[in-house]
Amino acid sequence: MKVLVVDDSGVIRKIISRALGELGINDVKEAGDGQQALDIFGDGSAFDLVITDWNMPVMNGLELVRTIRATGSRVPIMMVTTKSERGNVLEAIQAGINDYVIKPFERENLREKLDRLVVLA
Amino acid sequence: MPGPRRDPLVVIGSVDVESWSHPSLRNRAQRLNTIKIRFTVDTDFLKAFETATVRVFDTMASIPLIPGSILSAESGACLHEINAIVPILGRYVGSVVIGADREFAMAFTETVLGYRPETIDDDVVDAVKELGNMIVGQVEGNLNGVKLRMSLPTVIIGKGAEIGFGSVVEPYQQTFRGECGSLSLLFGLIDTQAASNMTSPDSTGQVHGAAKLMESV
Repeated sequence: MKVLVVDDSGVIRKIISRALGELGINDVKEAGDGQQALDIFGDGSAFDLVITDWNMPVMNGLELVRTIRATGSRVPIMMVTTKSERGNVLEAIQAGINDYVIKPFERENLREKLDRLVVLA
Repeated sequence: MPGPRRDPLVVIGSVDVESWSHPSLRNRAQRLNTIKIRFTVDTDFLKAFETATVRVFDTMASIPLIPGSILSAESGACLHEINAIVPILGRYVGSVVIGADREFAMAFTETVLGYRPETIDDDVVDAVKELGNMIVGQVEGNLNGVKLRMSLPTVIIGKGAEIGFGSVVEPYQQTFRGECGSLSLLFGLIDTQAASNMTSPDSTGQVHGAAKLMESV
């Protein structure tokens, strides 16, 4: 299983990668913004799961999700963000995410959500 | 014969001096060249940051924090070594600076990453930056309709580094203590709604809800 983790914070990328590692998933690619993520994602066929932040420079996570969905890809996408307003969550769901995690999060919660998405992937 | 000379009146902020009801203040104001107003922020609003800060540390790292009082800050000098400046827009405009001392930042980074950085490296900088994101993000989501937007944080390293909030901003600070050190919030914000509804000063020079008359030149 191959996962793309997108966040401008290296620390958050490491926390997520660590949680994935605890689930036995070690094939993880990282990107620091949406554009970099798209470059790595390519046609998407190589990835089983995308985990992305919302607020990022160059291209934000919402644009990334819309762009990925516009290609027809149905890869499961989880958004991990500080944006907690109901309107933001709805906007992300409309853009095509499969799950939403609000920062700050407990590691156990993140792991449970990842576990569920991994089954979907 | 020319009338009595009146010094020009320069007012920072939206103040109609002629409408000031207190005669001594009005007379004083009319004699001045400059009236300096500093905009204040409702400390109830700042309490939302306290709640968010405690929650972020509890959730992410199980670090209990003891918040100190919210105090007026003498300047925009950073109280700690590693500082994330989070620009804020919306009803409140300005910046919030989240500062951590070295040991605190290292301990937090160690808790979330599972290993201790040897020095203040990119991981520590990213961790403090992310703290800024999460604290302001929490506040953003808990203001019941008050619009607040944050921009991407910037980190500066150096205790005492001066943040230029501007002369019309009244800075506030709050310190938190934890087992592994201390953390501070430094606020340089203007409540634009309260500022636009500013009233004339009372006998003590206080302007209701938004600003206070600080000094005159």
